[in-house]
Amino acid sequence: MPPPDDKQDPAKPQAQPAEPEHDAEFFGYEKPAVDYTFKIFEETPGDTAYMVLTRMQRLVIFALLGGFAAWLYFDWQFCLTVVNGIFTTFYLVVCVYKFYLIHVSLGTQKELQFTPDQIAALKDEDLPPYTILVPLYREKETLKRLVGGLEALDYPKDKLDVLLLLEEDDEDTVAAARAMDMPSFIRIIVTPDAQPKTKPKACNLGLSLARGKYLVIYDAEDKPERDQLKKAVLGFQRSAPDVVCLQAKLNFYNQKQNLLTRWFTTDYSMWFDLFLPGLDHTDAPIPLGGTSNHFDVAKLKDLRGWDPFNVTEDADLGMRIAKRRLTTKTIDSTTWEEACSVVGFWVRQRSRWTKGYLQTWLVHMRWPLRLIRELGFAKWFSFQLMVGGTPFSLLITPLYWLLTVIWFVFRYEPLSELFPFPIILGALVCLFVGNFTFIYACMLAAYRRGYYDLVKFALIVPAYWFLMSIGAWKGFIQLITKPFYWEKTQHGFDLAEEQQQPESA
Amino acid sequence: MISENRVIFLLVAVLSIGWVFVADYPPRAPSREAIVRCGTGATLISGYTRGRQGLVGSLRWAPFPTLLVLPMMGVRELSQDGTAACIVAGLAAALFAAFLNAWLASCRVGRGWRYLALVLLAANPMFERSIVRGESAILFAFLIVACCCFLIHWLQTLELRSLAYLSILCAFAVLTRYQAIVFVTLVFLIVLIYLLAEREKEAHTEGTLLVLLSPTVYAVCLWFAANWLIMGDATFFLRGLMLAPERGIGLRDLLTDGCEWSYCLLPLFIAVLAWVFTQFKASVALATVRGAAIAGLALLALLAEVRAPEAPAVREEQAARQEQQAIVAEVAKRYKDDKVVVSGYLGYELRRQAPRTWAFVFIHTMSLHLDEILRDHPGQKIFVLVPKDEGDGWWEDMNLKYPGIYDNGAAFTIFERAWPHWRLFGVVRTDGRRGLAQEIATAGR
Repeated sequence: MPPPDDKQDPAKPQAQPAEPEHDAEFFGYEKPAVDYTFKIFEETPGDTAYMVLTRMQRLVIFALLGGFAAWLYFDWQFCLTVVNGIFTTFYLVVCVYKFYLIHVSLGTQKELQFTPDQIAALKDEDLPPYTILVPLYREKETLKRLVGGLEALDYPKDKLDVLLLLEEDDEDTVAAARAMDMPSFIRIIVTPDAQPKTKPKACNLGLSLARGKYLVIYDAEDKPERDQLKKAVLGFQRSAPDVVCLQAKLNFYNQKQNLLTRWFTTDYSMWFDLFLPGLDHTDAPIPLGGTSNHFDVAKLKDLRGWDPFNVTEDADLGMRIAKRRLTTKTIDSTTWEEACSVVGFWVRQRSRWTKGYLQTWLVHMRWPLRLIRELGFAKWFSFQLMVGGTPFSLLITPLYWLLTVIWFVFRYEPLSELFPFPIILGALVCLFVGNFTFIYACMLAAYRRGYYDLVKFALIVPAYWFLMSIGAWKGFIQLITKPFYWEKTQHGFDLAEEQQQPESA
Repeated sequence: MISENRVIFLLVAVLSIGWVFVADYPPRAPSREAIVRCGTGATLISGYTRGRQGLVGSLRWAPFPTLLVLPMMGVRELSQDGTAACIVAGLAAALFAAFLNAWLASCRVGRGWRYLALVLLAANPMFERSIVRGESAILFAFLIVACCCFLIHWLQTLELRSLAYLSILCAFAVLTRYQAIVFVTLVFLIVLIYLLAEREKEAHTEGTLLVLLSPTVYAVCLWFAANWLIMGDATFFLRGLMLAPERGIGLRDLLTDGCEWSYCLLPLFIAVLAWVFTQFKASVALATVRGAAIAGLALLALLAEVRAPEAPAVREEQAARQEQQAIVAEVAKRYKDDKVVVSGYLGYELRRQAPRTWAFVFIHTMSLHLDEILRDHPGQKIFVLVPKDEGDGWWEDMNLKYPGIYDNGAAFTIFERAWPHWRLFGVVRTDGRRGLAQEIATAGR
């Protein structure tokens, strides 16, 4: 699949999006009682990423940068030593917290689990209507497979309400979808060509039109386990009333396509099979994964849907759920996705994730004290480490790798001045224990998933971390230059390979 | 609510550490190991570059227990006399007790029996001695016992957590006593045989073995790398091992040197016995087996108690300290205007015997650079104290660098005086003798 041309892409970056536009006729569809497309923005714009930084945040950042520059000028060595100490402490705390999450998730199976008998006991007539949102953009190749996958779901079709959310300017996909003989439970929704052109905006439109009691988002290439919807229904039935969302696990079906997909798979396995169950177990806020999050529609509407300006709207929503003292649980069911197999596209996808996490962190940190009150200190701390800490550690990691190389290769003595004993001790722990433990966690994650042949590839995962850092820096720079630009993840590379195989044979 | 294991951990930790400060009389004074580890840690903390090889330079003093005392090196009272190592041993004992309790509970052993087993463990003088003397034996015993328990658990359940903990603990065991590599090899063979017997797929076997071995392999590689970075020789810490055959030291000596395998027996017996109980059906005369087991444990504890004062290591150390005190007294009397160099691990112990008023006589260095010492002390006589090349002395850096120096001296030394386990040599000043200067300058590197 060719990469989208940015010059022709209607999602062309803008420094600030135009005021949201929407149509009195509600885009030609039956007008719902409430339009959620920009509801959160209209009611509480401060809870959205419409503004990257508030005036106060700008002031604080400029004050910090100014103070840092002045300190650097007057006593650069002490200044850098203190900054180094702060970074090292941060690294250590992040490492310890993540090790704790791994320890917890290895020891317990807290995600909701259901036996085949329990699922079989569900009667079709008792099942509630279920909405599935599938946002698509320039993915006409995946349509056929998508429809096949949706039809294969183990859920009564008369209770399914599938919304294919297409973009008006994506004429190829719209035409292809309309040309297909769609099953009756699938509706094609075309989102008008207006800024911001993001997935959450399309999902909000879908939420407005949703008819189900529950709702789930799948990407075009997703292959959920057939009984996932039934498991989610059971999950909601057996959960406390404060549960808004059930997050299914994500993993890849093309994990063996190349080295990148192998690494990506171990990374995903670590996130969904080790970290998220750990967060779940410790009642920490869960940054939702991009797809396969099942919602109680009424409660989601109460939360006013997704932030249409946030490029990781899922993580943001996870935090808003926690702020309202509601809960996200994990469910033992997997959706199989396509791992991005091309380095360039993978970096773009990762840059969006990093940018989105930073956006989310900035949005929720606009009133830090209020956030502590809303979340409680433990959840606030977890939020800092998982949402703020993850991109921040990816950003500073290359700096420390560079320092390590300079020290070991050139034995550059002045560096040792920046590492007095307690700092060097912490730094060495991070370097030798921290890095290995994360490698080992990747191995464990692959093993736990049953991907035994991926275990050895986890041993060389630091090269993948390097790519992650490149993606993080790209995302960080983009947060400044193109804050609302949606780096579209390209799918269908596995299909392209499948199509090529008979020819080459 | 605080769990039972946490209570046990806190209780044993408080009692152990408290006992360390109460039981400070000669047979219960911090051991040589405790003093060496704290000395090495303090040298590291002080930033003295030449002392850093203390951490990596010996097969005898594995690094992990030394790393554990590092955070306490800022407190002078704890670092000077080995108390920090006693505290680490106390914490290891607490962890051991809590772990054993958890294991016994998982084997469905009743609370009363569990506490009885813990009391028996604590009553064993080896347990107490290890704490008050700050020996890493208790940590080693804990690691070996925990490894065995996790191995049993993994073989029964195939739980990933047990495999992960087993492999991580194996790595720590190797870093606590290098000899544990034999134990890890044994574990590897057991797991391999199990996987082959179960006819697991190749990828599964490969993945399992990678998960099992990578922490240990990483730890070993890290240690080679650390030796290379600090000493410029990746196998620096193995010098003793390489020289062992020349000195007629056999495999058995190497495997048992400083590695108290016997410490592991009692707790391992308790742990395995508890697991064996779980294999019996209730109809079997469980009470009889249990009674016999407890009687056996009591007997073991009693035997150990009777034999404890005879523990050769303690006796030897006490004798060595008396000798060291005599050396220090004599040196201070006869050589107070000179400098006496003590190097290496035993140097920490000897220097500790010197009262502060005489301490200036001694120069302690991990790495002997005589040329620099001569240059730094012009006009002063310089002497070198050399330990006998047997026991711990055999692993000393000086004896490994200059084989035979204790018996025959070196080209740049003149014999001065002898004690049963130490000899004092005067160092010849090199004025004008280029060949000798060259030897002094290069030999000690």
